[in-house]
Amino acid sequence: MELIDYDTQIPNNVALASDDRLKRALEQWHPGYLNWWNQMGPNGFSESEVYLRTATGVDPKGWAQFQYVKMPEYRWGIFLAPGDPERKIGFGEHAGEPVWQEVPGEYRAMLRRLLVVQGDTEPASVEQQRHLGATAPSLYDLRNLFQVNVEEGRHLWAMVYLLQRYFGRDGREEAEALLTRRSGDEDRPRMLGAFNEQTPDWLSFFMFTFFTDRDGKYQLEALAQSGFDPLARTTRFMLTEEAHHMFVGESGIGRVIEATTSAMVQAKIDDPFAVDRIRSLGVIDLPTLQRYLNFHFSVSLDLFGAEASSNAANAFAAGLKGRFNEHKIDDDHQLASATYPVLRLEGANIVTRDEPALTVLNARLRDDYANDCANGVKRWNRILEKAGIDYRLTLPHVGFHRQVGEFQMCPVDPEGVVHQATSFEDLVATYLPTQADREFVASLMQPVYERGSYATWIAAPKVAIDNKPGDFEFVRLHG
Amino acid sequence: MIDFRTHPDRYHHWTLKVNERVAELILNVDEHETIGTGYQLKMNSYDLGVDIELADAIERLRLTYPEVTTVLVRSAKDRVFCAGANIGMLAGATHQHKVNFCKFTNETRLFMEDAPANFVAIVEGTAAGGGYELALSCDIIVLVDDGSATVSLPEVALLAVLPGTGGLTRLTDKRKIRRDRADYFCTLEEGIRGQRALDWNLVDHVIPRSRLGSLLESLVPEASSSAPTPNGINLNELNREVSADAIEYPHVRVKLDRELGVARITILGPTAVPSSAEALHGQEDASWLIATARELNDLICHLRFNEPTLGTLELMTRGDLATAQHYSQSLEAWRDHWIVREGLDLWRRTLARLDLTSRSLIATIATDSCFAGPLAELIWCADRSFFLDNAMTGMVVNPMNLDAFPMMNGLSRLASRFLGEPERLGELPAQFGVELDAATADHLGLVTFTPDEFDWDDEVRLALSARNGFSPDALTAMEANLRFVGPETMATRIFGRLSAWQNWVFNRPNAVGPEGALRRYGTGQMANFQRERI
Amino acid sequence: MTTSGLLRQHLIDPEVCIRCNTCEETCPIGAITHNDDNYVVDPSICASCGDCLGPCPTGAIDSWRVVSTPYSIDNQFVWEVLPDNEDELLAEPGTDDVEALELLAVAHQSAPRAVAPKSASTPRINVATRRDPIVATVAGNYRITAPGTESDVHHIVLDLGSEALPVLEGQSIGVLPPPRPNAERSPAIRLYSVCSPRDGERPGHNNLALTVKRVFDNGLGQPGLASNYLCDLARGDTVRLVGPFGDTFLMPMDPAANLIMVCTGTGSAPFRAMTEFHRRHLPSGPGKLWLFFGARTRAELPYFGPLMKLDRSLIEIELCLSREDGVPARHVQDGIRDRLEELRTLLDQDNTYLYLCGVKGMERSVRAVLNDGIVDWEIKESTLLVEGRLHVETY
Repeated sequence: MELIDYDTQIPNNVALASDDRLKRALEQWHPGYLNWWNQMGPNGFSESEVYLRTATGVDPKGWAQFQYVKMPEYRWGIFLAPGDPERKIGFGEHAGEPVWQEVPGEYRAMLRRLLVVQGDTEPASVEQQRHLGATAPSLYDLRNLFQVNVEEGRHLWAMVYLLQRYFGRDGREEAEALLTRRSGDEDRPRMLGAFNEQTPDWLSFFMFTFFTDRDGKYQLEALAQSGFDPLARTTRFMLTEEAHHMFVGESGIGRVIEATTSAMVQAKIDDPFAVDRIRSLGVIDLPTLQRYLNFHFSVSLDLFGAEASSNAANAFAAGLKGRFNEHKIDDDHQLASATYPVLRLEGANIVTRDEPALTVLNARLRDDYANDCANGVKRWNRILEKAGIDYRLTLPHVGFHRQVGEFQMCPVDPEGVVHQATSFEDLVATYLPTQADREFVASLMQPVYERGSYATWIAAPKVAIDNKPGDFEFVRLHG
Repeated sequence: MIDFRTHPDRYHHWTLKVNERVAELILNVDEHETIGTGYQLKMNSYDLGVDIELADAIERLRLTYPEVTTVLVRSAKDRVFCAGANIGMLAGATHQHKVNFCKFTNETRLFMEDAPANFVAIVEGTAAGGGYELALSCDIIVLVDDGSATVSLPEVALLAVLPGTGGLTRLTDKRKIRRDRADYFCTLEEGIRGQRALDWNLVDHVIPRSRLGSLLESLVPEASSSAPTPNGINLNELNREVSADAIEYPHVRVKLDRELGVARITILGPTAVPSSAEALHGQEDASWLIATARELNDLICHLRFNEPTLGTLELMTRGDLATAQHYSQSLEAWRDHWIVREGLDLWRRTLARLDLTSRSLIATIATDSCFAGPLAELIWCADRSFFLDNAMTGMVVNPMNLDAFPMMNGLSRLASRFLGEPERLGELPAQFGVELDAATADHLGLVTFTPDEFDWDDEVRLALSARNGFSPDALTAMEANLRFVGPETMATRIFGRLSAWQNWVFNRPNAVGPEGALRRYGTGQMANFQRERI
Repeated sequence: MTTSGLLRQHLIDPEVCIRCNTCEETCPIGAITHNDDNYVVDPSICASCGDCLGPCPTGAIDSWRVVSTPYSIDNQFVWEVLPDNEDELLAEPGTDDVEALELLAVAHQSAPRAVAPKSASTPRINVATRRDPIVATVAGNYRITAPGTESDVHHIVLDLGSEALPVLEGQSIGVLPPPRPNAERSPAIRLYSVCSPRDGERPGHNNLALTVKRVFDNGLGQPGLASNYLCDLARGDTVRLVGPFGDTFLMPMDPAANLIMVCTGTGSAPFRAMTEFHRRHLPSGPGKLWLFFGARTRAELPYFGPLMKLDRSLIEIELCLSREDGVPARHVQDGIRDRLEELRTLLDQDNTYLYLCGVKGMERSVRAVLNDGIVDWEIKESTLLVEGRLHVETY
């Protein structure tokens, strides 16, 4: 095996060079990681030079270094956001105490579970997206895909670092297991449902990065509040990278909408439901977009778990996982007697019930998330508005097409109406992408690898990354 | 009122599927279908209602589906086998309910082990606490390793209680896991998975899902060509009438004396003897052997949960002693027939349940008594017995009393009774089949007191009313100690040691106090323990 | 960044922004906030430190408008698109040219809070505007790297005739390349550091000199428009100039000041100007001039000959050659590392000024060495910036 100079190969700010125990653990893990990347990372393109952003430091200047890199040679680093020696635990029963620099014994298991669940999602999305390179609509999008992939890989490193540094032998075992599970695998699936779904086409990819990666943002932000300081600092830094993933999703769908609307305007088609005519222009019709949106939003909601959760309550009370933007919330950060309004299904009615806030933290985080999604949809609608197309995208009701929680398998339509006479399967089928939709989208998935060219169904970006113009050679395909 | 009568057609939580020799017991708990209020049965967690169905299924597997040799116990829920007893239920239940719930679930687990079929637990996902204990009660545990499936006993770490459904005991006594490893395992909230679970013998097989099918095939034994396949009998719903102060089954009559806190139970003896084992089989669930045991079993469960203040059960029989004895003799002769074997086993389990019932048991043998065969066991189940000395006979000892109904300590009730006078056992074969009167029974040491007609009423009434004056707790504890003499078995360790400690823990503030772990679980608030060791 | 009452305001493009909160999270002084619709920069707080620029995933953060009155956050909260530049502001002589400001902002990105040395002369800004550029005549155009090397750097002397274009050492001027035929818009201006001192390439002749490197590939596979235009100019050709620009990257008017100048390639231009000023006007000042100059080979080093002829009592030169045959490869940062001890001693003096000019990669490497070698470099750096003693212009 080739010896690796870890101090230079792994950009880090965790004093890796002087931490023998950690170095040994990483040395043992690293070959397995590379092996995983080669097996499950992007299919092909390992020789291509990709214009990637590499984090080399945690200060604002240090983590956006752009250069051409072959993906297997990407320098996956380990970074913690700068620490604050005065930082205090911000919520729960230990509020006001200094943050922990080592794992508190009584919370070891809970913390490890949080890390493992979070860590498991990172490589999963790389696995889900590994075939997309073959149908990229442009070099720019190809680059964005690979950026997302290498950064999810880095997020895996981040979680593995915490497991190996703070959780001894168990942590090392968990770190190994993160490499052995596989998205969608019958025997060793990833832990959460949405991460075992396929990402078969680029529309799904953009939806995934908009909706599912946004779940990541909310989970990471809640963990960035943690009283366990290394976790807080790790996830805080991850958040800055996660933002790029959502940018890929939001701008990706935005560009799809632009391509569709400008084609419709050009062909003088007013009716957004003239699906066949619109499709014949080589663009994706808006109702199909809506159905993709319905699917990805609803499966992403499942990632927040059941509305009421004792695990979430425990993690909050323990000071391990806070609420979104906990530090900006103006309350006692204890939730001893606070309530929170939760949607409940009572017979055929969806009603709001005030419940002990501590027990329904998942519902709250989900609501914050849904609001964020709604704002993104609003911005997409501006494109439609500007183009004068009489169609608006909407988020379905949170009860629609749910496999987890209060509305699990309940026939709730996107408007929030409960249909007692219809089965769950029949109802959701009306609003989710049909086989024909998927086949049509698949038919558009032809690679466009010429510099500055974009597939018909997606517009060129308004601003490309790193101040580069849209016709920059974002990927040198053949080295 | 909690009703223990159910049927696979009415199950909410389990599905019993039988395909020739292989049965599947599939757990898919309906979270809204609860016995109590204020909790939901998430993640395949269970309350008494779930276990009532399991107990029913196990009985039906023996009597209705005797051809089944392998029972696969599995979950229909994704990534969770079973999360154990529901914590919200435990936190909210009365102490009385918790203790009896645990007792019933423990009996069910033991009856699974007692069944002739091979039980295979297929653990896909999480088997936590009572979920793993359910798997531990199976003969074989298969862990379908998807990289996250675990087995765990997190009670100590998470809830400040014990894995009280035999978990601790089965680790050490059944699976012979080293106590230091068991100690480690029982303090791990998140449990153990994969290869280490196998290395430590926490499970028997660790395999990927894609190989589950072929493994299961190999676990189902080949059909034996020599043994004819028995035909099972249907178990119809028990008829019973419950009124304010009486409960009536076809073969069991109960009068409830609430003033004295006594349930006066009279079991009617058989009125006729079937001509052959096949004829008995032909009576299906209406045969005296089967029907009476089922009724008595249902009654015991009913009294435990629905009549907690009736502290004493008076056990009586009524019928023709000669017919009862003839019936018993026939059973002795037909013990090779599967329905007789199963019938006697059903009696054995029912009597064992009676042994474990925390009520004072007083047997009274008077005019028209017919304590023969299985019924005679009731005398030795009792904490005390009274035989009216009026020259009438009322009981018969049979060989089956020495070997067909062992208690949970592995000894027959007679052997337990004469632990200090083993020579007494030697005197018994000479009396087999003989109708005994009070004096003879007293002489043989088979009864406690033999008052004559003048003293009878006073003596019996005094005994019952005195019982009613003592502390119910002290009586429960005293009786449980005196009933189980001699050797320890896994079962006695579960009921005598594990359950007793668990019931103690269930009363301690560290578990159930306002700041205890059980009470605070799920609220997000951490438990606040009293640090004093007791 | 204000001159003549105008402000260059930092804004966020609401059409591009995805509301990811990264900027708000990153801003060290809480200048960024948001409502349900927009993320906005509070002009009363923002110090233009640039910390938010790199982390922004979209580029929305990198939006600027020159305004007379800054847009309030309440203004910005309701925007759906950015307002247009206030065009009429651009014409006024003596005010900033927006395009030039943007270009300089990028060059000064990593030291955006720099201020001019206290003793620096007051710079004039945008004397020649784009509406009214100065037409200069080419007095000379010489290749100053050896023939046959990959690097084609030209020294171009421009005669300003009778026009006034007062330039200080370190300032840039803008070149307006001729419009392409049929093009809708005239090409963007390009900024070049002037390599001659304030009194011109040759005193009394009202001229100035530029150092221009020919760009063969601008990242799009095309030759650079302006550099090729300039390098191809012949004596007697005319060229339109605007500017000057830049009001911080200036030299102290203090004979005792120490100037540490770090550069690669054409980054040497301002240092040539500063050195020449010293040679002409402060030859015996006690201050030390110290130049760290990186190039691949001697032959590719602009001004190699003239540089070597300078009197060593005027300036100490540390050449760092990365591809010179027979010499171990050495980059600028290696030169710095070798002399770190002296550098540190010098920087501890209040009258030492540090200048970095050249490619961004050089800047990164040099910063890394300083960070490793100088205790509390980050603190030191902000002190230097505040005192006008650290200047960075990289591209």
